Formats: sequence, structure tokens, C-alpha cells
Amino acid sequence: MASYRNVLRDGLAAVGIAAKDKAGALEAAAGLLAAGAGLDKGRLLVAVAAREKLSSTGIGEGVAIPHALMEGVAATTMAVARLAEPVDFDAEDGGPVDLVFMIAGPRSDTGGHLKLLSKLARTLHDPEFRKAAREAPDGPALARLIYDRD
Amino acid sequence: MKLLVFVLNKEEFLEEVLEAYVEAGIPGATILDSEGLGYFLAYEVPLFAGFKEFMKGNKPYNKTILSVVKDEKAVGRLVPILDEVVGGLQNPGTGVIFTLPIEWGYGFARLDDDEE
Repeated sequence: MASYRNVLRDGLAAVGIAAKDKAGALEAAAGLLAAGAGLDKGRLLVAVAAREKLSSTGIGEGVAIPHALMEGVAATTMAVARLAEPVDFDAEDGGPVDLVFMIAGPRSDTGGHLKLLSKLARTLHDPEFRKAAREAPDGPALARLIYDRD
Repeated sequence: MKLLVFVLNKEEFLEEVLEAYVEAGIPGATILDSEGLGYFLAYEVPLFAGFKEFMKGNKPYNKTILSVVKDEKAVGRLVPILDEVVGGLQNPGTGVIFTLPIEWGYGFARLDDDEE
């Protein structure tokens, strides 16, 4: 089973992130993930944008899970950015997004990536979790909410 | 009695597979149209669209064949024939076959014969 504690490191959940649009939201989340996990932000953005071209990872209810399998990532890692203002994300339900869960993983661990995506989608289908995530006062509190779902 | 379940990924072999059933002494089966989890997620659920590249070569649909057998003797006769027909069930993407015990059943007109 994928464990949130193993993929969401300290400091990789943040609230009040400023972004004007989808590109800005992706850039902000990529910046958070790249800085915390020692990744190349530019390469991460390219990989995530390529995945977004296939179809939006906005799964509805204000949530997006941009993700990418790429070289140069030692282990599957996640960052969570709660935006200060929701942005259009071409989401399934057409609604704006304010909760961005970005995942990067090595191509050698597609199974782990898939398990984490599935677990995250299930967690995020819960309206109580989304409400709590939107009310979390800061990044560490948001991270604790996620860890509680392990 | 056992429930024999065979998920056939190579649908093009369905006719030969059913012939194999009859040859092995299993005269009845129910054939269901089915779909694999991976293919469904990659092509029907947008979040998993990035996994389409891993589905290359996989068939979108498969057939699930259900039959009731008296015991596993018929299965022992069937499996070598299936291996020959589909090219070895140990190879990925061909199919899987298994049995489950049936605690109770009623209405079976005819089950597999007792030939060795």
C-alpha cells in the first residue's frame, strides 16, 4: 500500500499559494515539489505539462492531481499546494481548482505511482476531507490531515 | 463441484477455446464480455490517462468463461489443450484460469463426463 508518510515529506504541503491560472498553479506546485525533493523544476514542469496535454488531471470538486513519471527522481514524491484563489484547470466538472496534489515518480516505479494516484483519488472523493483541507490553518496542519488518511 | 473461471485475453481464440472445452468433456459454459482493470482505468478514467503507454499491446476487451465441473479431472484435461490453443497461459496477456469450490447448486442439466 502506498503510504502518505513516505511520499509527502516535511515542508511539502503549503497553503495560501498565489497563482493566476493553471500554468501558474502548476509552476507553484512544481516549485514546491522540486525544492523539497531536490528535483529539476524545469524538467518537472515539462513532464507534468506533457501529461496535462493528454487530459486534465482536475478530477472535480476543486481538486487536481498533476503527475508525471520521469527520469532523475529517486522515489515517488508528492507536494500539496492549496491556492489562495481557485483557478480554472480544465477540470472534469468545469469548476475551478484550489487543491493541487503534485506527484513525481521514477519510471521504474509505475506500480507505486498508480497505487498512490488511486489512494489519493479515493481520499479526495471524501467531501469531509476536502472541507478540512480547505480549512487547515497552515501547511503542517494540511500534511497531518493527509497523514491521518494512511 | 467446482466453478471453473477462464479469462481469455485473446478473444480471437474463443472458438478454439470452446472446442477445447468440449474436447475435454465440459459440455456447458457461460461466456461473458469483460474488460481488464488496467485498460479501463487508462482509457475511461482521465486521471489515469498517462498510463495508456503501458497498455500498448493489451487488448481492450476479453471474454470470461464460466463453467461448472464435477471435479478437477476435467480441468486437468482442459488446461494442456488451452495451453496449446492460446500459446501458453504462463505468457502474459494470454489469460488466467482458476477454480472455486461450489457449496451448493441446482439445475445443472449435464456436467463434465467421467472419462480419464
